[in-house]
Amino acid sequence: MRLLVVEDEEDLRHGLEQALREEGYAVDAAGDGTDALYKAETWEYDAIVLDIMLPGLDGLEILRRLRKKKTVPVLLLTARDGFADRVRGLDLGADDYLIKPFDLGELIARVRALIRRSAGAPSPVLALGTVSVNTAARTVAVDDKEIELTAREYALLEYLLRRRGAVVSRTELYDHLFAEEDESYSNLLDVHVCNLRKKLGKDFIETRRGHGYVVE
Amino acid sequence: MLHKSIRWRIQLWHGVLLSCLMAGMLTTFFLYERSERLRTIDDQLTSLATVLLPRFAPPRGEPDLDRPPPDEPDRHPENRADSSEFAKSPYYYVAWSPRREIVAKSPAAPAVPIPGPVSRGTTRLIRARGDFRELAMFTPEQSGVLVGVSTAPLTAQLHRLAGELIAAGLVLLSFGLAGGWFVAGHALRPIGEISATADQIAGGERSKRIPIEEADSELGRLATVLNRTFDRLEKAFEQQVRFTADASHELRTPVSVILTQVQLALTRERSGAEYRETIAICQRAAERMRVLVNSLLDLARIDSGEFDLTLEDCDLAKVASGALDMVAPLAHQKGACLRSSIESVPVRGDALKLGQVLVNILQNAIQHNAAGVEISLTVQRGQDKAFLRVSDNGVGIPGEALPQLFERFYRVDKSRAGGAGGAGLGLAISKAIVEAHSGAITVESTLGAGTVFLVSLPIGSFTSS
Repeated sequence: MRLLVVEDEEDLRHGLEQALREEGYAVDAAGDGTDALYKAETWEYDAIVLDIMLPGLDGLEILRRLRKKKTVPVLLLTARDGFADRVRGLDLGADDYLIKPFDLGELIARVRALIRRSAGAPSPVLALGTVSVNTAARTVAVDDKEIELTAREYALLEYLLRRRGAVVSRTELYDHLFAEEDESYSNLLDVHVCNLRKKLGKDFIETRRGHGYVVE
Repeated sequence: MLHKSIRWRIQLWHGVLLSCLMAGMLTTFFLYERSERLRTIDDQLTSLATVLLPRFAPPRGEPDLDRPPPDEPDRHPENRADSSEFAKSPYYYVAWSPRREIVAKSPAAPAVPIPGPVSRGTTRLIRARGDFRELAMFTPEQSGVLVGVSTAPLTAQLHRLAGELIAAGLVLLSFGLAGGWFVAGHALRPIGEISATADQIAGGERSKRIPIEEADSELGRLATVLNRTFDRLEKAFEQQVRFTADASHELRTPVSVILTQVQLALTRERSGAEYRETIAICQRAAERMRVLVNSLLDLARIDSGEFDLTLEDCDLAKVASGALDMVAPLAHQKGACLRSSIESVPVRGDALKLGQVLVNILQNAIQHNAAGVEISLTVQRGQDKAFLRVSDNGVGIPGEALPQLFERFYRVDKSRAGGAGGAGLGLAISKAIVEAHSGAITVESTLGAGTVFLVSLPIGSFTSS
């Protein structure tokens, strides 16, 4: 899952980036409106955390322009108590909002919920065959036995499960699993897929040569 | 509550005054009328007596035997006429001789005690005897004639008159009271409107104003003054709301930073370096909050008039070089070039606060411009003013931002990128400090060419504002 964090206050932005990364998300960050809009329009994010008060373009303007092209879920951050900003934000297409100062745990939970809802799966548990994934606790079990996955393996599994039945291209996987700054070698994805197969069963992930991967 | 109502009190006073006035007027009228009627009766009695006296009281000496008493009508036709006239009239007469013997009387005359004797010289006597009013006329010899009439009809008339007057008085009084009630209500209506409007404003409808019908009337003027006051209060209230919102907004960001960092650090075991990083970030945020809180306190003191200046004779040259020393490290760090041309100018003021103004302006110039900017500080003595001038050749300030530059929480660059942005309070505080010194602060700027801040202060003696 790949996220964009837009926040002009550097210390806050770094904190959010790190916290979300530790939750296993691939995180990009932007410190001003122009950069944020460019990234949001260029990449396929699974959710965007967007501060309203920004230099350059403000958050609401970014939202207005972005909504013409993309349906990515957006969580607004606002430092104002007044409801006017929030009402405008929600009307412009924001999916949720948080008022600063917020609780980090709540922010992460809301991001999780946004991703879940946008994938059309309101339940936090994804299950396929003997494999079940609890996206809230970030745990994976095979035959009710919990198994250990690395953050990247978990992200790959969750993404494939959310797109179950569809063939997911390698480009799409790279887009959603790696942030801009992450070093990604062309065979890194193969390594993760290989490891997942070892842990979940050889046939859990099928390869469609020339197209990508699919779980069914 | 009724006795507290102005309308009721006015009505009460009005009623009491009106009643007294009417009672006085009607009583006077009644008494006048009564005395007029009595006078008419007296006049008639007098003229009758004047006619009758010569007839019954012969001239001095022996009685006039040629003249028969009027009760012998046969002898004198005129007497007969008199007699018949008296028979029908309500008047009666009694005549007596000097020996106080009744010599004649009209047929209808009641038993009348002969008045007198009177002292010499008295010729006339008027008396009210029961229901009768009588007038006696005397000759010098003490013979005389008494003419009388019953006052019963007059008394009845007067009673009727009194009744009518009281009725008319009551009608007039009720009209007066009703009119007074209406007039008082009409006059007090604007007060009702004023208090209703004030109620609404107190209830939260701050944009309500008193409708003014007659701006020149006393209440119209009062309403105008109140409306102006309401305007000012509304503006002050809005400013207060905006100020609170801005202040809380400014505080939220550092609080968010601290909360996020601390919560993040606590999610798992971290290395010492990571904890140090977290603590350093929290320190920065706390530092920012401290600056903000200090600024807010300064503003609160300014607003409440408790902004204490320690006035002393100070040299602006010292203030300026102190400020330069303070910003030198920041200038070095940001690659700004500081120049100065300073002459000694004595002013009476608070050196610390004036230094704060200069540091604020210099810091702004350093932080809002790119590296390599040249900033020059000039301290100059004018005719009767000292001038502090801070100019730079930096990015300049957009024209539309200049009028709001000294407003609280106004920032030209809305971002806090690069840590350059404070809360937007520095210039507001600087302006307050300068104005507390009876000075002025102005700014001129050309986009892309640079900005000039000019502070002027009175030289030497300084009076607190």
